[in-house]
Amino acid sequence: MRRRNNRDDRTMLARRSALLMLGLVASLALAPVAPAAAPSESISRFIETLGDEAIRQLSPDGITPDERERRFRELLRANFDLPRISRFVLGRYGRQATEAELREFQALYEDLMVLTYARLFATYAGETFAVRRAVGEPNERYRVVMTEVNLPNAGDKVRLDWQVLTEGNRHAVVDVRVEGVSMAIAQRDEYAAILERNGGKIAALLAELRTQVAKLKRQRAGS
Amino acid sequence: MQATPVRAAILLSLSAMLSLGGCATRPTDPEELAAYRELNDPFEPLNRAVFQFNEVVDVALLRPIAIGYRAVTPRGVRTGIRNFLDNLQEPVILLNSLLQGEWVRARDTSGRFLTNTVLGLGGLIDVATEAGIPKHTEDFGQTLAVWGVQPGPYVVIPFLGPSGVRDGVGLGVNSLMDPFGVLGGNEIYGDYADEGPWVRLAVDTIDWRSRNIETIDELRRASLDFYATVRSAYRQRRAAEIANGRGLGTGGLETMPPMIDFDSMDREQSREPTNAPPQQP
Repeated sequence: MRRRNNRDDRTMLARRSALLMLGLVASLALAPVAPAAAPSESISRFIETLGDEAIRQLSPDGITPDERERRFRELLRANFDLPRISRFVLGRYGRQATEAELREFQALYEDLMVLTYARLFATYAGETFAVRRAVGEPNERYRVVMTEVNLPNAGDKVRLDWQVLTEGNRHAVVDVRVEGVSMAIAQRDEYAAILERNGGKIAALLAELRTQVAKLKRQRAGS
Repeated sequence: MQATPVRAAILLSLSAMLSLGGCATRPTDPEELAAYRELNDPFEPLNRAVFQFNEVVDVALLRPIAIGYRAVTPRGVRTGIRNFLDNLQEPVILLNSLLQGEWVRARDTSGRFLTNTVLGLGGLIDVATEAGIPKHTEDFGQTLAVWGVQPGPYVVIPFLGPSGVRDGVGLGVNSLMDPFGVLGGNEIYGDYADEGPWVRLAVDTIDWRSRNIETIDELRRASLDFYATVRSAYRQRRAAEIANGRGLGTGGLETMPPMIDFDSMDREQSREPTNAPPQQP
């Protein structure tokens, strides 16, 4: 597979953000640093805070890429249920994995999110984020918040649906749908294809992820 | 119908896609077999080859053209072109809405076409959206789905990209139904019957590509298996479009695609306490 990261791209990136890209950014990135959400806080409010906080913390021009990644990681850990997402993404293959393999997968998965999405906030161009509707009864564990991201440059809107788990006194994002496409399902399907080719061995997937993370780190260092 | 050779080529490549060998091996293990069926990609080796071909075409040709297009045309001009091209799609969207019995959408779409054509200078300005008439998207693949036709195996079409048996057929019929389509009645282009539909298709493709430069770059960069990512995204998107009668985006907030059933996953997990994943610190 071809991967490119040349200067042209960066110039273009600096000029405007494309539709789905921002969706992806927002989907995996928007997250506030607020620690545990109060149980009384509505899921709409949770998502709204998350979006505002992500833009406030990650979009300023003055911060270094390292700092942006550090903040992104913090937001990700505080507001996404990474263990649960990891378990879903591994699907049936996760059942054969050892605890050490699962732990490593989760760490690599987190690295991949950070390396992929944090940098996209550097090209923030006044995109706004609005909660439209929350779906689900208050006693349900999993509910959905529908939002829209307005892209002033593209003159377009992207619909993001956030699936939120409420457990005890904490809300956590478990999946984001960008215009109907679930990021968790897309990731699960991608990893399933890799695992399938390698006889279902998690070790093989971990090796590919390690290579990928190392490559993205190199690209970032060279940029 | 002057474009016969081209039409024949399209149909040929379509039927080649469906008939050529290169099938994936069917697994015997029941769980693997279930996964294989769910994947629904029996032509995977061939599909991957076509996908690679499309990638080469994209990187060598389409992407550079899209970057150039965006560099030389002001945003206002591009918006006008986008509106104009969108307006040309309304008749075929209207036809499909009618075939699906979606009367409200049909009314919206015909209203949009008339409004934008007359008041919007032939479609260059999207006055209908400003007037609050929502835009819908429909195609014959979706109509077939509404009629109960299953998607069939996944198919990557040369130059056109991800599709499926149902949606590939839908694409062909849709083009035949489209008064401005490559396979449709190109008499509407008058003296430019030969070039007209192809120019429209080319500009449409370049415009679409120019609006997705970063998106696709990022997906390529982040993916370990870009083929599998695109396959998943394509299927999910189609399912959402079909399930969401009123379309996603701004107009579809009253409906929602089914979300992941984490409750079942949690229940299954609690039955296997020995293999619990690490807890978040």
